[in-house]
Amino acid sequence: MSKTIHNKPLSAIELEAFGRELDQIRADTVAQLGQADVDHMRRMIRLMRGSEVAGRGLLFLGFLPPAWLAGTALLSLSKILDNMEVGHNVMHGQYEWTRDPALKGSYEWDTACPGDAWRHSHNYMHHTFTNVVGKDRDVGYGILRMADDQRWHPGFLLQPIYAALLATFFQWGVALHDLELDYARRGKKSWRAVWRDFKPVLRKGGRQVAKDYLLFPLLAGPMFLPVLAGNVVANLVRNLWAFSIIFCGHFTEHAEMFDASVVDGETRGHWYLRQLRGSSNLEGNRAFHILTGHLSHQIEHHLYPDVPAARYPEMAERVREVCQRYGQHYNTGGFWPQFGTVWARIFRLALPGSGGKQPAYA
Amino acid sequence: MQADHQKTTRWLRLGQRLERSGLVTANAVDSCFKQLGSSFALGTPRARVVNIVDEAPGVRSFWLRPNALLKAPQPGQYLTVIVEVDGVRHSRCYSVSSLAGDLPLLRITVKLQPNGVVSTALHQRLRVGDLLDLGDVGGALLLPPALSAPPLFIAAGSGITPIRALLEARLRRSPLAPVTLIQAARRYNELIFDAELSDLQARYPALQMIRVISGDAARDGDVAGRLTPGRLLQLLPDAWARPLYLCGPAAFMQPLLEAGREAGAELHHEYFAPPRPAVIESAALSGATLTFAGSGKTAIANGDDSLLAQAEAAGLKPAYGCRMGICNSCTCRKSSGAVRNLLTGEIDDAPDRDIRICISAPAGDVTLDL
Repeated sequence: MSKTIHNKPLSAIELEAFGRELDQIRADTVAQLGQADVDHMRRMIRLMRGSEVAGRGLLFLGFLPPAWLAGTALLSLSKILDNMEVGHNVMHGQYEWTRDPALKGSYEWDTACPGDAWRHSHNYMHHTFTNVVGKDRDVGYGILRMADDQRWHPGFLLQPIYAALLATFFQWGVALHDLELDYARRGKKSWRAVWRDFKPVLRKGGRQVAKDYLLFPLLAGPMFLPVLAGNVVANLVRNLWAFSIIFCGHFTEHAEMFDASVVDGETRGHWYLRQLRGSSNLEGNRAFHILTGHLSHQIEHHLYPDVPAARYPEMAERVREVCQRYGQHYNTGGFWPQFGTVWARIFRLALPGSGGKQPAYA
Repeated sequence: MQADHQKTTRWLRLGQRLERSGLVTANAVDSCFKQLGSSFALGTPRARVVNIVDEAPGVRSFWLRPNALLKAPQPGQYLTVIVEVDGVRHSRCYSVSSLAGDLPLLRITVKLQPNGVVSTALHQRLRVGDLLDLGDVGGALLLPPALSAPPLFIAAGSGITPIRALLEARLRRSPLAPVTLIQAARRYNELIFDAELSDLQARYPALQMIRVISGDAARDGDVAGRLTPGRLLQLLPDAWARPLYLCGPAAFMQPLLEAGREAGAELHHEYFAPPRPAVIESAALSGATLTFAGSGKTAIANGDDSLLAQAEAAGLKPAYGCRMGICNSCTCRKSSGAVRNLLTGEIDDAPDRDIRICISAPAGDVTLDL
């Protein structure tokens, strides 16, 4: 699996040209945005709502095994769509241009994480400081060591277990992410500020728990167990899926991490290059791409976070061609191979050292 | 009709209660009902088109039955229509040309504008039975409870739409009090509501109607030429002493308004399209003002720095994030003015737009909700 990646070093002029070509791809795509894009998102929303209603409905008959399986599957599909294709993309402001109030960036998704908190930690912090160790807290989520430059301590030895727990309870991991508990532990953030940020999480998380684990089971009366079980499993399926896709975005073998000095006076071309080198794609068919919320095109998403994600596959062809011409590696692969390298990284960095320190991007 | 309305409000109240509990969102419910072809909604005023009438070449009336969420307009007011064209929602205001007696139906009369996105969409796509999304009802062109002198209504082209409603409201309230309507048009076939107004004149002898035709040969009883201030005084020497209600194209209204103001007349008018702000190149941008409506501050605008930087220089602390146009943290409302996108060069001069201030620079006077 390990092959040596050669990226051609780019001069300042080449980097500027690189940036302009990527800008052009964006301009060309944005000029074409229209009814088809909005129709796609509305179709996804209808699919999401329809599968939720059907799923929850079937779970009321969940004492029959086929109904339980189908109901849980449909509810899982609905939650995955809400988290990935609909929630993540709408919350990025990808559909602000439509001026449709139903598609505003302030959309609230069906997980424990409050939208505002996520928009701060993700839209702003993660996308601006992508893969910069010490600034992008998505690098390890404060509990895992995912970059060689992260200092090792014995606690990390158990990180495969933390990763498995994070995957299982991912919606809570994401909800607690913006609290910046790692900063609080180190004294960089006051505990009062943590409490202030925790209150909306408590509210939203509480609502989610009440909805999935109290309200709907209670509505089923004596048949509450299949409903409860179905809801638990659907949330679990969504958590595992989201974790897997998201971790494949930045932690595959050849995804690069960067030193904080990179951000000072970073030009647009540099920023594009850092987004490219820090991200990795997944190959698949159209259904796969939709289920990943087009995060299978993590590279395109990081180059163009506010362009409607359904456009990424067509943009990818041009981006790939530009990368080739400028001698830059385009990190892509099948799901299982890429996911395998993510776990390899988790195990590798659980140990001190790294077996080959990655040079900081220059 | 009454029982129908009560039933709707009962469901509406239930739906709104469900929405407050957090179990459903208004958007989800509204789009479901729209999908099913119903105008019922929890948060979106919506109407069904029940009739379409062509009033004149390029002028079409749409009779609408709104749902319970639309505030009833006063005579002279407009309602906002929202139309989706190529994925983007556009809103425009149209005066309600129907009368109190027509309720619950409302009529808007739309003139097809040569490059009009919304008027074209309405003319080409809207059919009887379709659902139309609506926005706010508003407008300050209203009839006060009592008038000091017999009112004078002056309308040109589609300006007759609010005037018609005001006129009939006035006549109903005071059927014997004299009222004058001057309707101006280029050609006879462009006179909107001709038949209705003649009918009105027959019912209310106190109504004096004068038609001013500038293009065609004027018929008996009508006046030829354009309605200039001088012409107005010739026709009605006491014009400036009466409360005046004007509506029509800006070019028609401006000379009359200027003359009226100079004469100290009581003027009520409404512009259909606000004048577009002037767009100025950054190098020539001198003396343009940046207004921060929320904090009451102003600053001299420069055309090169982002609005975010200029707001910070003026002492404000707007929310921001990436400062490069990606994360939407700095998005705020531009109530008016022209701005240039620093990344693409695109100019946005429409009012009431949300813009990312980290990548927008002034291209003229700008007012922000900051």
